[in-house]
Amino acid sequence: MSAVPEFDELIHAPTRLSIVALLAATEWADFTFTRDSLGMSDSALSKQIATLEQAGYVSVRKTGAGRSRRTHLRLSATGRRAFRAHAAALRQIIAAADAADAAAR
Amino acid sequence: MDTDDARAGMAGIEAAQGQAVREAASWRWPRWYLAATAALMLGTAIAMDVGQDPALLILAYCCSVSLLQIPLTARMRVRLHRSRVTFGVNWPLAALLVAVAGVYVLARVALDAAGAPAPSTLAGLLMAGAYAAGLPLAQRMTARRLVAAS
Repeated sequence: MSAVPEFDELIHAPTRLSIVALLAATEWADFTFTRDSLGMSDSALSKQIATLEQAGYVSVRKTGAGRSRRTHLRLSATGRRAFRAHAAALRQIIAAADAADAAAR
Repeated sequence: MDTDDARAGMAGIEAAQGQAVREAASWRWPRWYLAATAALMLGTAIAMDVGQDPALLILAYCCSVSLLQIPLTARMRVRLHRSRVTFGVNWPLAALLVAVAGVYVLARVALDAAGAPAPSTLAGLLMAGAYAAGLPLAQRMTARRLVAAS
């Protein structure tokens, strides 16, 4: 099902876009995996996750205790819809530019 | 927003999603899980020879395999979205389970017909061996298909 294109300023910031894109490919991802994959520090990722959580795009679940403590990040249904719409908006912009280039040649 | 910005955004999306897919594709079932599952198969097969209720044993086997998922999930760093884990990607694992069940049934029928002692135990040994031998291959095939599909 294709999403209705809708640009999302909150998601489009490069770091947040990478976080949301990674989470969109998953049911959930571990905090440390997300941090390592995106080359971020704990504090930088925590800050961005807090912003996304406030917007209702991401949910955070902590499990275990002590050394086995894990933090799972999950994209909410709202976040998934917003990401699909944002990605569709980006594709639309690129397609329009490509069409204009082709017409100019 | 300009086109370059949009292209950079799409490239960022693909790169981030590629990381998740590569992580999932590199996941291998730990040896303890393989050993525990094979042991459950064999244990169930032996119990059938001893004369336990097959329905109860199958129930106990299914519950035990489900319980094994708990420590298994705790070791995973990422679980891919269901839209990426399609039958087209996962069929080698499904085929392995069907093949393993087939090994048990055929071996059991053949051993019963031959009048072998403890036919279920022997068939269970073959089944557990087939599972242990086939799982790494099925995993590799699944991983290749996962990466190719992304």
